[in-house]
Formats: sequence, C-alpha cells, structure tokens
Amino acid sequence: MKAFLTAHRLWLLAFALILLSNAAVLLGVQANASGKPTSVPLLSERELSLPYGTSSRDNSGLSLRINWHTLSRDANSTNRYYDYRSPAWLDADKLESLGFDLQARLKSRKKPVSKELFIVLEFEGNAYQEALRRAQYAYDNAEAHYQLRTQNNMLAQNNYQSTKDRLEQLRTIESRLYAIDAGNDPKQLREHYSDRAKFIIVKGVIRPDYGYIHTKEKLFGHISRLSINRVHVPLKYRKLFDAISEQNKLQRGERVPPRYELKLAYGSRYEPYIDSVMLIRPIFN
Amino acid sequence: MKALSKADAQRRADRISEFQSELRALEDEEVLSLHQEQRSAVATYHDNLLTQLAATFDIDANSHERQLSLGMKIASFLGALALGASIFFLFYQFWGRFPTTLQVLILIAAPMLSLAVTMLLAQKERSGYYTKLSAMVTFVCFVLNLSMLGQIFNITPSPNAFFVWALFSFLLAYASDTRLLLAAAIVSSTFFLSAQAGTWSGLYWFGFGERPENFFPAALLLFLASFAAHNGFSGFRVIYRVFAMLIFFLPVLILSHWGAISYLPLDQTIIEGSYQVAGFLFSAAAIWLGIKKEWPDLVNTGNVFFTLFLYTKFFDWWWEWMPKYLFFLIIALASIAMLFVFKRLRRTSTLVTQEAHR
Repeated sequence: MKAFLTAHRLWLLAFALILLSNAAVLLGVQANASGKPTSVPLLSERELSLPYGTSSRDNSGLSLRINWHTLSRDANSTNRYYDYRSPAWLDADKLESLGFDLQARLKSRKKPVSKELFIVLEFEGNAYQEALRRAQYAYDNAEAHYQLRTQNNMLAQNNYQSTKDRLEQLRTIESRLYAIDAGNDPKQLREHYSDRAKFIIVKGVIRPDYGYIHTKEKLFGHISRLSINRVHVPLKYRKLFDAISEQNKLQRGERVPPRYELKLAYGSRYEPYIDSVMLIRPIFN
Repeated sequence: MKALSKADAQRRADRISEFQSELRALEDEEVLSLHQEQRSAVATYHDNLLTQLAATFDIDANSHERQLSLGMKIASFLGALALGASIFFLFYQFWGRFPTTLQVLILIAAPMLSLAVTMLLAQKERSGYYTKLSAMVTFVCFVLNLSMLGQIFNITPSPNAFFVWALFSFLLAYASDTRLLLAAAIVSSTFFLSAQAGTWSGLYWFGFGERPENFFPAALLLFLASFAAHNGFSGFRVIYRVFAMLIFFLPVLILSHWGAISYLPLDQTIIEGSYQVAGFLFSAAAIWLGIKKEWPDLVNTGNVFFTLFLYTKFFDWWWEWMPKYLFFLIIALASIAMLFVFKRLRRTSTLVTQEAHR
C-alpha cells in the first residue's frame, strides 16, 4: 500500500477531500435555499429568543433558540405546567404507526430507542388556544378557591397569583408554537397541513417512554428534541440583536413582550434560515 | 533495505548498542574472543549502518538523546493540543463579527493553508516533530471547518461529518506517520460506523450509544485492519489492536450489567449472563493470542479486561453482604492467584525457548 500511496499522494488526497467536502456542504446549503420554502412562518421573540446569558466573552456568534411546547396529556388537568413534551396524540397507536417496535418493550423490558422523524409545529392555532383555555380554567379555579377561603391563606393566594402570571405569560410572552403531529413522510404531512405559514414541518427526535397509571404500565411518546433547535443570526441582523442583548442586561433577564418579528424560512432539506427581521417595539437602553 | 519505520530503525540501533555491551562482557569473562578482522568488520558494518539510520530517521544514538527525544515528543503533543485549542477559540472569538462569505472563506482556507505548511515541513524536516504538530493542527482546522459550517447554515446534524473527519485523519496519519492522528481517525470512524449500524436498525443516529452492540462492527474492522502490512509506520498495528479491544470490551462490559439496552430479544438476565461469559472468554482468548503472537499490547489489554470482568463479578456476588475487609482480601488473593498463573506461563515459555535453542 505504501508504494502506491506515497506521502505526496496522501497530501494531495487530503487537499481534494477538503475541497470536495466543502463543496458538498455548500451545494447542500444552496439546494436547501433554492426553490419554494417548505414553511415560512412569521415568528416573534416569543418563538425565537436570544439564549440566556447572551454575549459570551469567548463566542461572538449568536444563535436564536426555537421555543415550542406540547399540550399535556390530561385535557382536564388544572396543573399549570405542561407535560414534559409527551402530548396526548403521541400515544401507543401513534408510535406504532411511526414504526416503533413496542412489542420489544412489552416482551423483554427493553429500553426504548429514539428515532428521527418529521414533526408538525402549529403556530398560534388550536393547540395554543386550548393551552390558553386550560390556563384560563386553572386561573378561574384558583380565583374561586382564593375567594372562598380567607384572604390570609398563603397557599390559595400563591396558587391564585401563579395561575394569573401563567395566563398572562401565555398571552404575551410564551411561545405559540405547539407540536401537534408527527410522521415519516413530510410530503404527506404537508398535504394534510397545507398552510405553510401556520404549520412548520421540522425534523425532530421521538422516543417511546413509559409510566405507571394506577399501577398499570402505559406506553407513550416523548419528543426529545428538534434536530435543529437553534438558528444562526447572520451579521446583517446583529446590530438589532446586540441592542436587544444590551437591553436584556439592563433588565437583568426580566421577560418582556416581544420586540421583534422574524420571517423564518425552512428550505427543501427542512433546514431553517432567517429571511428577514423587523423591530416591532422600540428598544430603550 | 526493507521499508523501515522510525521505530524499527531505533530498535535496530538499540540492539546494536546492546550487542556491543554484551560482546564486551563476554570478552571480559573470556567466553568469546573475536579476531581482529572479525571485530573490524563488525565495527565497520555497524558504524555505516548507524550513520545511514541516523541520516534517514534521526534516531537516538544514546540514552541521553533518548530522554531528550521523549521530552520533545511530550512538548510536541502538548503544543499541538494547545495550538488546536487556540485556533478554535480564536475563531469563536471573532467569527460573529464577519459576514457569512468571509466566515466561509476563512473556514475553508484554514485547513488548506495548514495542510500546505505541513507538506512543506515534511519535505524540509528530518525529525518529523514539527510536521506532526502541523498535521494535528490541520486536523483541528478541518474539524472546525465542517462543524462551523453546520452552525452557520443550521445544517441538520449527521454522522457523515465523522466519516469525512475519519478519512482526513487517516490520510494525515499515514502521510506524516502520526499515531495520535491515527487514534483520532479510529475514534471518528468508530462513531460513524456505530451511528450507521444504529441507523440501519432504525434508531436515531445520535443515539447509537443506546445499543452498545452498534460498536461491534467497528471493533471487528479495526482488528482486521491490524493484520494489514504496516511496514514503515511506527506502532500503527498496536493502535488498531488496542482500540479494537477497547471498542469491543467496553460495550461487552456495559451489556454484562445492563441487558435492557441490548438488541437481543431475550430476557435481560440471560443477556447479561451471556455477555459476562463472552467477556471472560474473549479476554482470555486475547491473552492467549497475544502470548502466541508476541503482542504485549493484546496481552495487557486482555489482562485488564479479564480483571475488570472478574472484579465486577465479585462485586455483584459479594459487595452487599460480605464484610468489606473480606471482600478486598478475596480480590487480593485473586490477584495473587493470577500472578502465580502468569509466572507459571512465563516459566513455561522460557523452557520452550531454551529447548528450541538446543
């Protein structure tokens, strides 16, 4: 082998590999950005926020975090917190339709494995409205409870205040993106959810999980993460985000209503890029 | 002269030095005495050979030079790590302030320039220290190249990057005879092969660790690669063998205690028991093969894992209920028993060698 592949030839092959791999990456980027985007939602700071502890001294790059939720499995729950990314629609039947082998778990107690699939995120749709309804319901219950008991009852008072804050946050600050479906074929999902501004089809990782309800084991699905959960901010938009970061520092991380809107395009490879950014509230430093 | 690596040349020089010392000792004890012609012929031959080896491979002529060489190797290794880290952080410090086009150009230019410098050093430098350092920096630049492009363009993470990094690292390792780059290539290719094995069995590539059996194909390929001729490459076969064993035995060790993450459609207890038996059998086989083929790396790694399997078994059986002093006493006695066995094996080997020489 050494006689044919001399050191000189190996160096040249290394050069060629650098060029080829970069060409392949850039062609892929070009392919993703060309043609009609698969999704083009107009999102705000609620859905694409600056990371906590912005402007790291050692990293001058900036990526926005994609915020999204799921509805809890229990529709009548007064719990103001969401289930941890395990929505009701991602049940055992759905997992089997997605290709998960649940029998292995049932037969031999195997630890479940994850799969990368396509997930539908709905923007300000029925799922968000349902979340608002549940938060309103929780608040109404807490308020009624608080009124019934004496005003000195700390538990009732705290509960009332936290449900009130929660409802307000949902209305003004929390993300309006909710995961509502998943599938193996993005084209089929797009046929079903045709509004490209309202429904975003993204890649994500789903894992079966299990819990015990009344001592009976129940299998359900868990959305572990989106495959791309951050979006890089190009230089041309940095000035705006740097100004917002400075404001965040002065406000010591206090969450405020959104200050910008952002058109996010998902290309043919379901990889996002920022199409445009607009300021919707003035920034005061 | 058959194709030699630097390590082979150094071993030859060391043997010559030992031969000269042993010859002097034999002459002092009047066991052997060479004629003047023979002495002169041997001395001339050795002098010419050492001159040739020193000119070609920059070997160490004595123990003082050997110690200095060791220091140079350590300095080269630390220098490469520090320089690589510096390049990473340098880019992270400033990249956010560049337009996208400039970011891409810098990322592509960095490994290409570094590679050009490495090629130049390889031609000019005999010892190879600066070449190896530069080659490692080139690898770091290439890893930065692809990983940063992924961040800039929000590319979906994929195991293909590990394949490219592995290929690049293999090319650099063989071009510059650098074991550290070979290790980097092996690690990258193991990630890629394991991720592919996981993907073929239907799981998300990043979760390849969720099923440790995904590592077995990589371990087998690496072990087979160690049988390929590696004349002229210092210690490459050892690296292949050691990594192959690590990549095989670590998953076996994990599966011997956690059967729920195995692909096998069997009861967890059966899986764990089977992998425990496999662990003992394969580590014993590694020790046997290592002794037979005179591969000390195989023997040592086999030893380590045999001991690990044994001690973890002791732990499973006795830790909960046995008094701790008794537990550690049994471990000590087991170690002494193994010492006894190895001593007997060594004695047998010595007797066989003596018989062969008669």
